[in-house]
Amino acid sequence: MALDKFENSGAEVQSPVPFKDLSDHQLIEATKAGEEAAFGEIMRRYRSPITNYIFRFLNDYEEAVDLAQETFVRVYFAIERYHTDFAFSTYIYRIASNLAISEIRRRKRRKLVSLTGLFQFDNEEAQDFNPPDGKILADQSLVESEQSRTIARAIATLPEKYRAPIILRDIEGRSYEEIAEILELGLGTTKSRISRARGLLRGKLQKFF
Amino acid sequence: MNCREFIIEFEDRAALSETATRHLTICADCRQKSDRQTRVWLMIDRLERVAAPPDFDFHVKAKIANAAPSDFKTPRFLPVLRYVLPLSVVVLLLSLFIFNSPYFSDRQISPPVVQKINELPNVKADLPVDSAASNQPAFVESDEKKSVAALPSPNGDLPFNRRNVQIAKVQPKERGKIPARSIDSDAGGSSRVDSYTKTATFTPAGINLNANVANAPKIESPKQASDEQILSFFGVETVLENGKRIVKALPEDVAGRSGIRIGDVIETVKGDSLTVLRGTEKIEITLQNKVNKPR
Repeated sequence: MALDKFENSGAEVQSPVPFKDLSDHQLIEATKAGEEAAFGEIMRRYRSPITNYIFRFLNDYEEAVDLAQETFVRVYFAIERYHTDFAFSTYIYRIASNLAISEIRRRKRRKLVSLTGLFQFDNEEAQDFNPPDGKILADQSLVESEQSRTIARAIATLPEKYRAPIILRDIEGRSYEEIAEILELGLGTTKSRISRARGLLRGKLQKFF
Repeated sequence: MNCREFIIEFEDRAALSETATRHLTICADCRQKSDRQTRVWLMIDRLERVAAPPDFDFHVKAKIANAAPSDFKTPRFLPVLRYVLPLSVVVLLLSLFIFNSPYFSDRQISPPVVQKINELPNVKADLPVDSAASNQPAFVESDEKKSVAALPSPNGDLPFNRRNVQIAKVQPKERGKIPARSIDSDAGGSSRVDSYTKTATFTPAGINLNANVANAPKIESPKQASDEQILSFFGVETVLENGKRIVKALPEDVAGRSGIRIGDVIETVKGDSLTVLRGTEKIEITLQNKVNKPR
């Protein structure tokens, strides 16, 4: 239960009390004023949701943690340019989405074909060089259930334009309006993509029905 | 409620309305879809949420400390390029369009009246030999409209008007053959061929070209030089005795090159050609000076 340990230990790191009751925008202003502890509070609030969001995107915990850290670094350096017109959660999820999508595209470019594919016959599909992660997964409870594993893989194999909306809606529980802002899409487009993603997911999970 | 409306309401994951519940009881297809989607949602809800590792903050702070701020800043000039570059291209294209328009191209013509060279009176005689002898027009215009010259109006005055200005272009094969020169016509006025600007201009006599042009430079019509003026140009001094023009003094170079002598009686002067009487002999002499050296 490595992840449980992370979750518990993560909750132990508390920011100073004065920043706990401040809103996101107030924390941003305090960070701009040089209060490093305010940025620590922002990290405390968003590190796990962002890590979880990217993990569902990539189905790779280490990469998700790395990209989540990158997200906060970018937020920190762009904090002077941040406008309070939008919710901070929208802003940080947008950065995370962009990083995750960039990572997916980078992986696609680096896609390698196994050498064993050279000896396969034409009617056999060449397998992508995507070795499984041999380490014990951080969230052991995830691997305990085949259903959970299957659905995690099913989500992670959705086309990227459907993946982000369905994760934000059905896993992160964001509203349609927030998702539209995060992904910079129209409301109608967002709804239709979510609906389409759900249809694709139902198709991938056919064996459980 | 139809199936589409039901799906829209169902996918909001809110409590179903009465009409939606009623539709669910009567529509097997929607019932099956909603059952499957509910199972998917249950499976998703059972997914454990992963959390950030305990050293997450430490690594973020380390990355911030090690990173240069410029690595994460959007270059400032990019927004400038995004707008300035297309704008400058548009301005460039617009300026090209405007200055190539007939209004501006006509304004660049300095002489107001241009006529096709082979329509000018006596022009062939003054053209270079290779053009005149071959009996080919020096200027060829395929479009007659382009070569029509502006003619004086019935009242004799031709106001400066861009529409009256035409250009007769020299064909490429004629380039370089025709030097810039002035041509006097019998009908009066003057013509000018300029191989550099590839234009031939004709100014009819009695037309005030600058009538409507306030600041245009005045063009003076050429005057007919007298015999005395021509001779004094070459340095030949003459004196009239009993109605005869006798050479009294002349520079050595003119005398040496031309063969004219002091005491010669000048009969006629036509340009730089003289007809003189030396005793009873009639001699034709072409005056030459330093500038106009024979080749």
